[in-house]
Amino acid sequence: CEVRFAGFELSFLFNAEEASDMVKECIEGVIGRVDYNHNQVNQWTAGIVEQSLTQLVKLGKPLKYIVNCAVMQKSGAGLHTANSCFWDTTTDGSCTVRWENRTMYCIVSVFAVAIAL
Amino acid sequence: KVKVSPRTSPANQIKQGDRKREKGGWNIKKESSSHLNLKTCPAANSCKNKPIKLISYENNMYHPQPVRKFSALEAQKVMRSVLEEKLKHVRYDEKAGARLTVDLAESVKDAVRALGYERYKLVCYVVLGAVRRSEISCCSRSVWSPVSDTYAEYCFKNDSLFALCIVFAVYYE
Repeated sequence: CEVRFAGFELSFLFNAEEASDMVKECIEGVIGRVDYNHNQVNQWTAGIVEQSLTQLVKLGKPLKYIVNCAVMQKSGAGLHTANSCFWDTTTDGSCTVRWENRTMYCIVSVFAVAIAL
Repeated sequence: KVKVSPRTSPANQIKQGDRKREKGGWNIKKESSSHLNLKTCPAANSCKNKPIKLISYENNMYHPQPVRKFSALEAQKVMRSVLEEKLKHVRYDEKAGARLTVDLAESVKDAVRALGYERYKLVCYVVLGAVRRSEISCCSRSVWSPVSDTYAEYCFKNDSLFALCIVFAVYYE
């Protein structure tokens, strides 16, 4: 997977590293030790996204969050994701976490958009 | 001379020079009122002789609601046209896939931006993969203002590849 950043300024409001660590914990909490299961995958994606969102909101920053999760079964096929954003690079930011285990890939993207204060 | 020992806090401390010995005892020199800011004086508003100052909102930056709300339907039409134009006869190729995905994300973002919604920040997310017998599940949630913020999505599919494109429009409150 290739993720390309449009700009090089880092947001002073959104801490990508911190968000990335939190998301990794959420992923491992939900699908850390399981194999791909067609019946449960919808619950998993919803669970990962909801937990990540709850943790992010607890940080108490003046940001709106969008969290997106894609889980794909491993079958030899490739998967590409990309994002392009029109925002203020000094306050807004994103982070993408890639995770995999024996049977599936998981990609979570977090977008944080500031509100005017 | 009587030396006054300071027992009060520094803000309330009366300097020795402020005391003047007059007939009848010590009197503390009264502060003149010329330094008081009459604009902040609560009595100024009730004074009928003062001219009323009108407050202008020219430089007001706060617009809690959008003038023109983002139309998901319109955005979806634009996304559909961009994706179909770019991917109609394209076959999935691993090497070209990465470049193609980024190019798609930027094209869709530019096209939605061209619709001209003011004060909207856009996030365009594209997932591209080969059509196989395996499955993919994609889910997203957000914390935002449901009155002004929304999203639009379109999934393009042909024989060899699929492309899911989501545009999130977040209002700059």
